[in-house]
Amino acid sequence: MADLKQAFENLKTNIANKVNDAVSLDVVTFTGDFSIKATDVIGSDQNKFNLDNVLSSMKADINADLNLVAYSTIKLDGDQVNIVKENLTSDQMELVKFHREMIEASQNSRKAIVDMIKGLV
Amino acid sequence: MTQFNSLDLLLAEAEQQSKEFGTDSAEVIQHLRDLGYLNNLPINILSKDQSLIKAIADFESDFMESGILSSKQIEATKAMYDDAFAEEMLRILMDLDEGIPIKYMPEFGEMSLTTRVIHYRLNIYGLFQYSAKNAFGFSSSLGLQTLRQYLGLNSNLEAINLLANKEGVLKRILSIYGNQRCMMFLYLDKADFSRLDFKPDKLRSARDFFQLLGQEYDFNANYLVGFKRDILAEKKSDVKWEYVRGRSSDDLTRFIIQVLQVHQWMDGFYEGKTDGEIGVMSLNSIASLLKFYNAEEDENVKLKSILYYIGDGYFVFNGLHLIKHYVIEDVPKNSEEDVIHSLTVQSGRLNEADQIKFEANLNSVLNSAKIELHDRKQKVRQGILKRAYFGIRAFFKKLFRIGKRLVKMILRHIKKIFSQLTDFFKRVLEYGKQALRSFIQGIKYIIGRLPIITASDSKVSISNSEFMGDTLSILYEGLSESELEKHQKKVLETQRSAQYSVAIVGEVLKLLKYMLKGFVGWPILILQLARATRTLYQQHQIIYQ
Repeated sequence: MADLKQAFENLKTNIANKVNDAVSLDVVTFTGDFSIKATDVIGSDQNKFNLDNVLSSMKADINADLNLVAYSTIKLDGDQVNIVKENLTSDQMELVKFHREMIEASQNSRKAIVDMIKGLV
Repeated sequence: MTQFNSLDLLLAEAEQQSKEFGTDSAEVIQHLRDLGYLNNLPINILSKDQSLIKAIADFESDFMESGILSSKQIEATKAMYDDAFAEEMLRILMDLDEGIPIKYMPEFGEMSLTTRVIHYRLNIYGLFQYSAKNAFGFSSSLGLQTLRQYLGLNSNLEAINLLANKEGVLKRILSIYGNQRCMMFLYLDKADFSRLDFKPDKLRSARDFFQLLGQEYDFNANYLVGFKRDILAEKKSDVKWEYVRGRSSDDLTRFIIQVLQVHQWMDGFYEGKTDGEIGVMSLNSIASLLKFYNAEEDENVKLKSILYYIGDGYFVFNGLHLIKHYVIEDVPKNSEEDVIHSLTVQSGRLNEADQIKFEANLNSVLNSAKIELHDRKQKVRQGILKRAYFGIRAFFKKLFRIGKRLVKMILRHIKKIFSQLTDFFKRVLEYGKQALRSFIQGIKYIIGRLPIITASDSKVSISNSEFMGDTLSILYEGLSESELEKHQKKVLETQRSAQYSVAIVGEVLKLLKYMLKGFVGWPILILQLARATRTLYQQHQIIYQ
């Protein structure tokens, strides 16, 4: 059996580090013409899923590049930087809408998480 | 040990536990049958039984229309329970310990989820004999009228909602009739005596029975003298048989027995029908309960002190002695937290050898509970109605009362306590399984391993939302509007659900400050998960207003 106390301590440290490091909120949306197998992504053990693996898997398996649709970073003081792809097609406009939704949801999610973990770390 | 490895191990063990809990739908089947959405025919889980799929869909549709929860509550509950929403809603509707209040009384002819729940509650207490799916009608009204009469209430709504609080029902009976009504006259056909766990002829000690009677009841002196002379008479010919026969068959006695049967059933001591009829199972369960309470309270009350065999199949039963264990006085507000922390601290103080023994004993309770739960599920699938009632409040209250001695009891492997703990843990396992899933999701979210993947053919879109909100999305180019909408919906749902999961993790982390030497077993962790679920319900006012 895992040393649960050690695991819990580490989990708590993990949370504290992430809270302390959260100087900005970053939301990024890419698109690309790619096709990958879910098994390449997940493998046999869902626990081992890692976004880096996804990116490298995609890099290895596809010919097309990933295109940045939009990137937003929101600093703690409220400053916000947005980078959006030029000459958007109507389909890509939909992706920007999606990106905006993700910004709003991410802000709400951060607020809710911070409220919930107050007093824990 | 690195941070990564210990978290990996924690996740792996949590997932293993979750697998052992099982994900089959036996519990759902049982509830759907009780509410009349499914018949009692065997269900083939593996072939995705169409009648089950339809029953769940019908239930969900009725639930949305019922107004039992507001749209805001439904939204919050869905975020909390995700794909186990129907199961959780069925559970809170069927809970007879702290069930959800019904908001209105239906009109004659109405057929809805509300009428089904009303019929179910009346049926459990023997006041409605038909299928729960029947329209609200004369029989329903008659059942409610009888219930109001028994409970001395004017409002149908108040009466039906009291049935979802089994402890409240007993308190009400005691407040109306006084404790004298808890001395009951019971009849069992002598042909069934051979199946009893005790010999009725050994229960003829007027002195022992009378002594406890005098201590526990507030009868006046004249009544006691008369009782001894007319009921506990040595010669059968001196017994007032007309009175005994009358009292053993009156409606109120049947109702009180029925209430006791519900309590015994929920405590795992009784598996017969809750019909108010005294049978072999009822009498045997009285003997089992007494043994358990003796162990729990360090008492040595003999069966002959609470059960006296008058003769010709008639017994007089001191029900108050058991009822007082059911009517648990209010305990401090944070008692659930206290009992878990007390277990954690006390077990942490044990020496190494005792810690190993304690952990092994507690795990054996947990494993027995899992096996029994598996057997029950098999029977439910086969169409055998093996009801288990859900409700966790009374469990924690009882645990609070014996909490200080519990570690010693587990260490000493007291048999009677063990069998009861196994039953308790069956309920905790059922109650805590969703919390365990949330716990796993919460850890994955915190360490960044909760990707959201939607796929159409081999074209996938992926979003990964980090614990602090950072979100990376990689979307397949040429995604249709509906596919994009589907992906977005899934991301938003997962984010909301993960917030609750993090809260569950937070509740579990509270155990940390009570862990002395790092020891805490999975059974304690599962208790904490069950408690966390209740706490979250209350914090977010999802169910308990």
